[in-house]
Amino acid sequence: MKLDIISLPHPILRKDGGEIAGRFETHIGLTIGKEETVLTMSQILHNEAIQELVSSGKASFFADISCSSTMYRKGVELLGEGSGQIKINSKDLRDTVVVTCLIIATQNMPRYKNLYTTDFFDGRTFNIHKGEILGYSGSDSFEVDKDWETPGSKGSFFMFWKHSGKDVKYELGSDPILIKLPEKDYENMKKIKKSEDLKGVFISLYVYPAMLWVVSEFLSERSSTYNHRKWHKKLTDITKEDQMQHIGVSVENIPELVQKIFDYPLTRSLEDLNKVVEKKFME
Amino acid sequence: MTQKITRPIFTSSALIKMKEDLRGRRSIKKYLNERFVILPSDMVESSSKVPTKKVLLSDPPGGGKRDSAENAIKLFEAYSSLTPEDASDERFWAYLTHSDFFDYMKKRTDVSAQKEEKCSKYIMDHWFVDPMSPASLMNNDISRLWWVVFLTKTKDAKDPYVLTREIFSMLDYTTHLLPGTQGRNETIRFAVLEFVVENPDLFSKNKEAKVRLIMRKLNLRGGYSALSSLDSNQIKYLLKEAVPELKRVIK
Repeated sequence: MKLDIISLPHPILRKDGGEIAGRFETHIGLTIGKEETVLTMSQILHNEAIQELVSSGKASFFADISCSSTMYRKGVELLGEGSGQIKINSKDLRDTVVVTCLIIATQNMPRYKNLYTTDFFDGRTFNIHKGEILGYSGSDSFEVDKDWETPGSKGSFFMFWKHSGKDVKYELGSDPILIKLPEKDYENMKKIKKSEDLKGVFISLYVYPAMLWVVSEFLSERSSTYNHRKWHKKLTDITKEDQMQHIGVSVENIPELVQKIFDYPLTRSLEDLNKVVEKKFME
Repeated sequence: MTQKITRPIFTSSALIKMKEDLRGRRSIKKYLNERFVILPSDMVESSSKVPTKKVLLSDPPGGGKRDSAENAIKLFEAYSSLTPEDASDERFWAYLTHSDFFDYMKKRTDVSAQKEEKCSKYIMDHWFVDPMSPASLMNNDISRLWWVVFLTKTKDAKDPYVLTREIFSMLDYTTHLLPGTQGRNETIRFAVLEFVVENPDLFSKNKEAKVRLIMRKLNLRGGYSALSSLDSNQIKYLLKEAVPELKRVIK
């Protein structure tokens, strides 16, 4: 459902407002367990007309969750201010899950109007039907990695999340830690992740730099903020291992510790790339 | 009660090698043999707990309809403990097409009848699952049987397979309804199938073209409306609006 490129019959409120004056953003927290995946939703809505519709029960926040690998798709209405948890059986999910966040009409509205940013819509009213979209805050994607809680599965500290920004961001407040990638980077990452020939490259490019930062936070005074997180507990166990103690668990040894955790990914990625180059020359 | 233990599946590296061999047309002959030899090193124990007892499928029907609802129901009932997560694992289905169901596959999907240059793709489409394209679960001749039942079995105690049989009456559904954005939602999927079943006269002729038309209409509506927020009656109401147009459909 590529809503971004579809011309809607009535203007909708977007993240930056769009043709309507105001703003609509959705923030999603994620916890993935073996049995249950929990999305924690919260909304920022700045638009008086839609706010009134939500308050009077004529519109509501809505999340559409879809996983094409398992042919799963469910719509969830989020009551009131749109905050709350959505729980999904983890066995219904595999690979990429897309969450689309909307505000929809919960009943027919024959004369809907709003405050517009362009003169074109001034004074116009729209005949809105139940289910039609009034606000769209975007689609987020995340990758479900079922090895996350497996002991020794060190690559699964992280989960990849597609976001509309331009920068790579890390979110330690989630379980697993979220690596938020811009849309194009996310699509490239998915291809590299699935390639058997580029396992080392994948770890070096995406996981290794993230882990350098995670371990530096882990060893900082801010560490206690995260000590209820599973990734924090897992890292605590890893740093107690003999091989880590032998290197020395301290800030100056972070690059060495992280290389050891992922079994020397930089070396492996150079080997992978060398094989790819050699294969290219053979062709 | 059937004992449920783990069963073997292909390793990922074995699948990569098999596909490479097919692309290079080096292994097509193997699909013409009586059985497909799988090396022990190409197998790994799956974590899915499914019955190891062999499921016996009837010979595929002849003519245009080469899948039967009866076979699909039999397979699904035997493997009903699979979760969607397990059932989207390409290693599992590829292993079954090359082992338990190799005889059935040879009858269902005759490689020897294909033109030489098309054999590789034909085998890849029917014996394997493309992990980059989840809709290919509907192409693999064994996974399709399981998934169709999983997606259409209802809670009706009298006959939970009414919609399953409707799907097997016209396999176009497996391309245009089940794997599509709208069809992945149970309420929408059931409403479309029920609408067809409840209106036999309307769909007695040109069913394929008519079902495609209602799917196009739903997809269009889904561009500006959250169809997954509607209940079954509301979706059927939208479909009823299309009846005059449906009546005018000629092939």
